[in-house]
Amino acid sequence: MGKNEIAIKIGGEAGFGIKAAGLILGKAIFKSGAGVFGYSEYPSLIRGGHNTYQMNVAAGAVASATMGVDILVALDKKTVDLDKDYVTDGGILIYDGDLAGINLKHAEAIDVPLVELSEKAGGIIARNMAALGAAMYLIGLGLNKILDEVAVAFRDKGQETMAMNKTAVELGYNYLKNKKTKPRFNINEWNLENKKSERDEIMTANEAAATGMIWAGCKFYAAYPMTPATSIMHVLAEKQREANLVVHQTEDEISAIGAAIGAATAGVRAATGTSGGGFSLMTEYLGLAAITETPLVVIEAQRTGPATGLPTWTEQSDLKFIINASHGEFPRIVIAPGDASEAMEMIQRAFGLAEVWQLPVIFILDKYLSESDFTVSDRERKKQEIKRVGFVSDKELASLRNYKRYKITNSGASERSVPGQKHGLAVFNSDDHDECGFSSDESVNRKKMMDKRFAKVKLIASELPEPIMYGPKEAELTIIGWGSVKGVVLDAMQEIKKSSSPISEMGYLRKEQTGQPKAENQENRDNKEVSFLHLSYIWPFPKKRVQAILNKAKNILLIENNKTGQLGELVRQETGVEIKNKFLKYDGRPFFREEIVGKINELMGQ
Amino acid sequence: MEKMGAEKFNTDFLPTWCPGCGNYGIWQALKQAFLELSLEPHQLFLVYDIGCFGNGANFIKTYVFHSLHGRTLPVALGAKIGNKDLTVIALAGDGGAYGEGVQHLLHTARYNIDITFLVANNQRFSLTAGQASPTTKEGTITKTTPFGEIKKPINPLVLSLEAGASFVARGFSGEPEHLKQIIKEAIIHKGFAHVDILQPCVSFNKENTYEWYRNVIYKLEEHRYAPHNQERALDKAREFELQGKLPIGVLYKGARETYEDKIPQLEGESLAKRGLKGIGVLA
Ligand SMILES: Cc1ncc(C[n+]2csc(CCOP(=O)(O)OP(=O)(O)O)c2C)c(N)n1
Ligand code: SF4
Ligand SMILES: [Mg+2]
Repeated sequence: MGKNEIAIKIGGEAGFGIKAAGLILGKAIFKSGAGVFGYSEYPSLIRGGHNTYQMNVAAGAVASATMGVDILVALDKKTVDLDKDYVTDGGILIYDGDLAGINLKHAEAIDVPLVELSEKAGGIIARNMAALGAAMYLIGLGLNKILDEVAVAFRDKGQETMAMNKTAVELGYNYLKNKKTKPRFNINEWNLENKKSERDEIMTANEAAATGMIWAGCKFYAAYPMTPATSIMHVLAEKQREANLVVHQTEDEISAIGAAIGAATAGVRAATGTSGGGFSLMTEYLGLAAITETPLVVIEAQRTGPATGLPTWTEQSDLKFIINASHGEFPRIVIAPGDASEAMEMIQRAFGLAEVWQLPVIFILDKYLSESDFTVSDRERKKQEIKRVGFVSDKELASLRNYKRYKITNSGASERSVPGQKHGLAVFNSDDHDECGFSSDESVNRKKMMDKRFAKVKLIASELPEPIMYGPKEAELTIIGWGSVKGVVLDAMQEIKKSSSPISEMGYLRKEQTGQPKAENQENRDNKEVSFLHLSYIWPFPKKRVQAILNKAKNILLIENNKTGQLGELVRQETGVEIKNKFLKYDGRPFFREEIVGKINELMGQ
Repeated sequence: MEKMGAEKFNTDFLPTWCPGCGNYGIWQALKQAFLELSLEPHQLFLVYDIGCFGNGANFIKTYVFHSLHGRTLPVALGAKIGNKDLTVIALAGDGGAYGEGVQHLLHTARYNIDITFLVANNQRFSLTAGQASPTTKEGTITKTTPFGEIKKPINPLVLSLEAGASFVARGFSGEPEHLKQIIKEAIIHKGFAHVDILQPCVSFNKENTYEWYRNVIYKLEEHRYAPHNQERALDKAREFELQGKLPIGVLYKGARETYEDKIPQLEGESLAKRGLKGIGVLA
């Protein structure tokens, strides 16, 4: 972890308000100008268990969690037991209770009577808020900053609750202040002024995607709750009236995708969303969207599998399944954003692509993206123009003698009519069909229709944005990864840089700072040169670019959050390049920054 | 019974059903109902299942969606929300409606969205050559039940009544005029309308023939039955099991606010129109 960064982790039982407290603290720090990345862990139950929320707070942008924690706020003994060994040298443990017998090695334990303080404020439920106050004091932030956030968080909960929580924060803060405890990590010394726009926000990739969906003119979202996709539905349900979209909770995921196909056929931009289990159920209908050439966006927020797996933990293990899901052969587009900003941007493109090419677009997230809090800068929050395309107008239909819904074209896409249009009659047919949509099992026609649908692939492949290469053109090591590993790899690359040379902004390639999506930095003269090829538009596979880069790479490292290295297999299948160095993680946890740094150093002979 | 005008709903494809198949009667009744309700082909969105009856997707000139086996209702619901101006009808066999996709029947009835569900019930999986279906009588011998079906059949009308369908009826394809009347009422009804249609399959159901049906059915209207009481409708739905008589006609009709009427976002122009009229589609 760099000097200008601290990690704060709050842990306790489910029901203690761990995430709520963490988010309030994160937002307060964020408003002070620091970059914040929030990561939560919890088991699949509502009370008990072990829940944590960790914030990495930095002078600049930060997009990953570290294993080491500088301030550990333990609301129960379990947190002390499980997490104390991750407290860094010179770090602090805040704990309410008997600290005798707790061996902290290098860290310092501070006893804060959280229960007593919260009871004084009005109830033990506010214990998390007393802890917040204490943590805030330790990092040198003013009390008002956090009280403002508490006010926002509890604005709908009534005066009494608000007052209790505010008092608890104050009591926690003043407890350490009155004891003349010295703040340890004074983030005021980071010179945070003017580093960020006031309108930057923190949000999860799910929240970002939901915003993007509204901007893209999605008017129908059908889904069945499944972690970690569910919060998309929560956000859309909340906003459906103002955004004029309909959220339909179905009896199962099969019905969800079916209803989305129905709405899309009627001419409405429509989507469904689920996790791997639900997506497994959707696969037959996915093929129906394909053969009827219905524009459809399906969000698949992965969690560990197979079956129920670890329902609240993360994994990137559905890539090959998604690319191959459903029987038969048909074209599809697969997009996997790497963070919340990309989720917001790319989901808008997903709707456009689905409409232009009249096929299913599968949008991959995972628990880590869906439930971590990212910074989305004002600059990145952009609504794209909505262009409704691919339709045949009423006028054209009136002048055409015999409109054909599935007319063979060079591009593979045909202008579509929607039910209700005069002269536009069509059969949207799950049987393979002739140009009008009538069932046909005639051999010449079958081949024509298969070729028509697949004609789209070539054009799509040439039009999709290419994978982004971060870092120098020539590097000792080239990392390749997809989706959610983006932030942690980029942060690790920066850290390596920091440790080998004076901190240079130039070497730091995150787009939040450069303002550009691409950053092939040739001026970098560092000796530890690492580049990173990140794939978001994964299918059709960006063969040429990946092949060109990997063929030139001196040493390649594949990083994936799964057991079998699925992207690696795809790369071999599509380019013939066999990647030998694989760093795979499949314990339900995401990569932490130290792990990537360690792996890079290992491969670079450090 | 095809009257002048109904042929406008014919496509260039002639039905491929076996001669004598009950699906012909349903097809005729359907087209006639559209004609008498002055529905134009482009105002109709028909969602067909997979099966013998489902093959009807090719024989009727409207907007047609030929869906997956058991999966008509979700598509129909989505289309109705997308464009509430459409007259949306889902059409399935007993296998698709009461087996593969029975959950959709229960829930769509519960939502009470304004669509019509027509089920051709021939007590067999006919397209796949006559296996037992969820409505096959106990003891029936088919290729998958060579020693006789050992499962109890489903009573579909009891299911949809219990689930909250606001219109429940039974028709007989051998009485197309009567069936047409039911279909018209079902379409006019605001809310989910379920019509179970007794459909002889001359190839795979040698027991429930036209003649067999004529001996057990009677028309509810001829017995001064008023279809406004759910309990009585349930009794009627069970009458065959209890008394060996099969009432046809409308068993239940109740006023209940529809799903789409409870969604304020759907007030005014349809979602599809709002999004597309700007580019000259549904303008
Ligand atoms: C998922 C799936 N399972 C099985 C089938 C095979 N299949 C096609 S039609 C059918 C049953 C048809 O029975 P029913 O719905 O009663 O229609 P009918 O042919 O009697 O009109 C079956 C099992 C299929 N097409 N899809
Ligand atoms: S097999 Fe039965 S249901 Fe199918 S077309 Fe022939 S008679 Fe009709
Ligand atoms: Mg049948």
